[in-house]
Amino acid sequence: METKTDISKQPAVASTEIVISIAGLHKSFGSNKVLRDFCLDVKRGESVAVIGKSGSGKSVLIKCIIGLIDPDSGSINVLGNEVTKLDHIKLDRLRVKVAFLFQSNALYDSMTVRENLEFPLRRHWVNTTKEEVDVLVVEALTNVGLAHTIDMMPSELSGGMRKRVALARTLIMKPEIILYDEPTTGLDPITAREISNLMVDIQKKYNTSSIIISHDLNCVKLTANKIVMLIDGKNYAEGKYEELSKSEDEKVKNFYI
Amino acid sequence: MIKDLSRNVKLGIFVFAGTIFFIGVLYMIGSKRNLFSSNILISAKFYNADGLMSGNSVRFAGINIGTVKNVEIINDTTVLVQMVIENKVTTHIKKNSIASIGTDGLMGNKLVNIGSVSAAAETIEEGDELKTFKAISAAEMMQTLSATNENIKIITEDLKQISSKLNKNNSLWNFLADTTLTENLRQTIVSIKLTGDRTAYVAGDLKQLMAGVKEGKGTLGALLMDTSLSKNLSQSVVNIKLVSNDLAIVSGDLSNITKGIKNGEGAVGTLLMDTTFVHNMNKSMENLNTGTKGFSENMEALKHSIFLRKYFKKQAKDKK
Amino acid sequence: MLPKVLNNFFDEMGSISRFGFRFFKEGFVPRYEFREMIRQCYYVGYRSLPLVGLTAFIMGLVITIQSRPTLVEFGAEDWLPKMVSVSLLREITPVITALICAGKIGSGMGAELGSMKVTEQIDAMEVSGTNPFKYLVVTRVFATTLMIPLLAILGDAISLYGAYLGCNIRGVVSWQLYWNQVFETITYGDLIPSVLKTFFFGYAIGVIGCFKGYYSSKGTEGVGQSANSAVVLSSLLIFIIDLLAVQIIDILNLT
Repeated sequence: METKTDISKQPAVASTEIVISIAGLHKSFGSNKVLRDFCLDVKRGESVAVIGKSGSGKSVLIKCIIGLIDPDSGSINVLGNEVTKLDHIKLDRLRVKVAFLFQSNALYDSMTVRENLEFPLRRHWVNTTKEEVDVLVVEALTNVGLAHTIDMMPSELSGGMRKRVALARTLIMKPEIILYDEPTTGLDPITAREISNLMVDIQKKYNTSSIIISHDLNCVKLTANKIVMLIDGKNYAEGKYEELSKSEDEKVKNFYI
Repeated sequence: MIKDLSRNVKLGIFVFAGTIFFIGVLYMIGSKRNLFSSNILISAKFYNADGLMSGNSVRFAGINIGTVKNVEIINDTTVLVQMVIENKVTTHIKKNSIASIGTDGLMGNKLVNIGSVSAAAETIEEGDELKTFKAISAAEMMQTLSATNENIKIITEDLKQISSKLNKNNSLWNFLADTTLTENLRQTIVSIKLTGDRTAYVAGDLKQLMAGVKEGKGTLGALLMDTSLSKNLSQSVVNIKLVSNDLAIVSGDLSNITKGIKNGEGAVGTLLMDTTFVHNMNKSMENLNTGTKGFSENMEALKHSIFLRKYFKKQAKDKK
Repeated sequence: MLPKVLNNFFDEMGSISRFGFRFFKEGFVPRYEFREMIRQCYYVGYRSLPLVGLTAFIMGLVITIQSRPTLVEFGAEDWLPKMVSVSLLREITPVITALICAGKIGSGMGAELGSMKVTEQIDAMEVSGTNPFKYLVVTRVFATTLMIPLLAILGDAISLYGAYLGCNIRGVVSWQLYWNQVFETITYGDLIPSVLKTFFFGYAIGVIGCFKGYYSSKGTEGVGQSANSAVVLSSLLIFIIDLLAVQIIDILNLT
């Protein structure tokens, strides 16, 4: 249990319930062993940041969690379901509760912002009327402060706005877990800060658990209450931002320059 | 949603147009082959189908009235051709109509011609079998022509001999006394008449063929390819020419003879008594005239036809 | 074992075959993406019609004008509608339509799916409870398989009209006589096989375009490459299918 702080921007405190449990995860692409015996537990309401060099397998890790990539071996337990053993129907059901924010936003170019947001709602067999869908879309967009863009095409939006729309889309299903894949990459520092604040707001508002893949320490500092260093395919170091910054280990120190 | 709807409408129009056109084409092809109109099935037996295939058209009075449905060999000398005929024209086709296999133009598709005969008969019905007539082909015509030439040659040879015998005074008496000879002469004259008829017929055919050749310029190429045919043709033309020359000589001789006969009263008493003979003689003269006239017309036609022009030019040169 | 070039070739061939089979495996089990399919049909069919129509029209006109001198030489000018309609219907219009569509649709699919792949939209679909293969590939392959024949049929109509105009540039063939001669000449044996093969053309265009896009390599360069190779490969495949079709038609004696 972490001590409660009254700094408003600090993440909410996590409970003891473990929502994601990863053990002994292995994944290799050809001869390139990306993940080697990776282990991680995420508690409810906790925000874990995974940092590592480019190509160290961070994205592979969260894609394994959501079932986009099949690991070679190891177990991934999400909300009590063993992801690697689920058929696609159960996997789809699980994916309603687990949202994924893609690095490149993955907004559908051929659809308007509204259709983009409606897409997961319609596709997940959620029984909602048209009115309910409209309400949910507006609510999600309002959460990210972009209610006015509802009928625009993604190509008309700026990079920061697209990221927010993508975030709104991940929120629309009211997920219990959000996986962020490099949420601030490619954004200017000010927009990156805005996005980070937004992530914290969301986490507090919906008490979501999250895994944040990043190499932006400012973002990580702001949003995460635990940092995991993914080095050589392993959970090399784990701890709070301040703890790790004091570490004497060479490899850990490299991140804090 | 409105955008979506109009898009659906556009797609609908597109699909509809494509389908309608496809069905339309299917129907048009089918109707051209009488698949949808009410029909009757008739048949005809031929000795030679001459390359006729199912799908070829059937014509009556030069109008397409149906298609060949099936061509089937029944035995070694008979081919059964089944035809589908439009119901609405059956009132005009009689049971005694004659079917023949022809060609659409000189090089076109094979087809079945149904020709009417003037004699009265009932109209045709489902399952009827028509009588057939073998249409003459160019090659067959040439064959007939050369056979005719042979005949004429022989006859003229005979006539020559006879007339030379007649010219000799002493033998005339023998000749006049010999009744079998007179009989022979009579027969010969009949033969000449027949030959003359036949020649005229063949010459007519040839003229038609020539006209066809002259008209169908395009087919000329193909015809010219067939060198053996043209060679044959020129050969037979040479023959015809020779024969007609001979015929002219013979007829000259014959008129001399008749003159002689007329003058020499006593000598030909018997002969003059036989009025039928004189009559026959006159007639055969006439026939010979028409025959030779036919030949010369024929020659004229041949001279104008392109592929024999060269030959005639060469001949003219040789004369000089 | 095999030289690298050969190995790559067979690897590609195997992957494409697998992809093509997967279409049948996944295309006929629910859930069916009808809305998306109709949308794709609209893009593939309706939107390509002007291009196909123009090409077919020009082909009809040009083939007629080009054929005339030869026929005139043989004195068979009257045969112009017959000859042109058969060659247009049997071969030229279906193949030209398919090639134009390979260029327009094949490259479009290669680029669209390629960019969706690169920007993780395909992954996003999967996360959003959608089978991207069904949603993107099956619908597109269905659309091309059904729409290319329709386009080819309409192309046939337009090219025959072009041929009619071509016949009347130098000679005079009345509207009625022209169509009479055309329908006198063409048979089911001309039309049906030529329509049947366009289904295969459409399938090939869809499968190749989607395959190249779906397995596009990362980066914008990869997108361009997949669009390009989709066009090249599907055009080539159209000719191969055409060659096969003519052999099969010949063997089955459908002419």
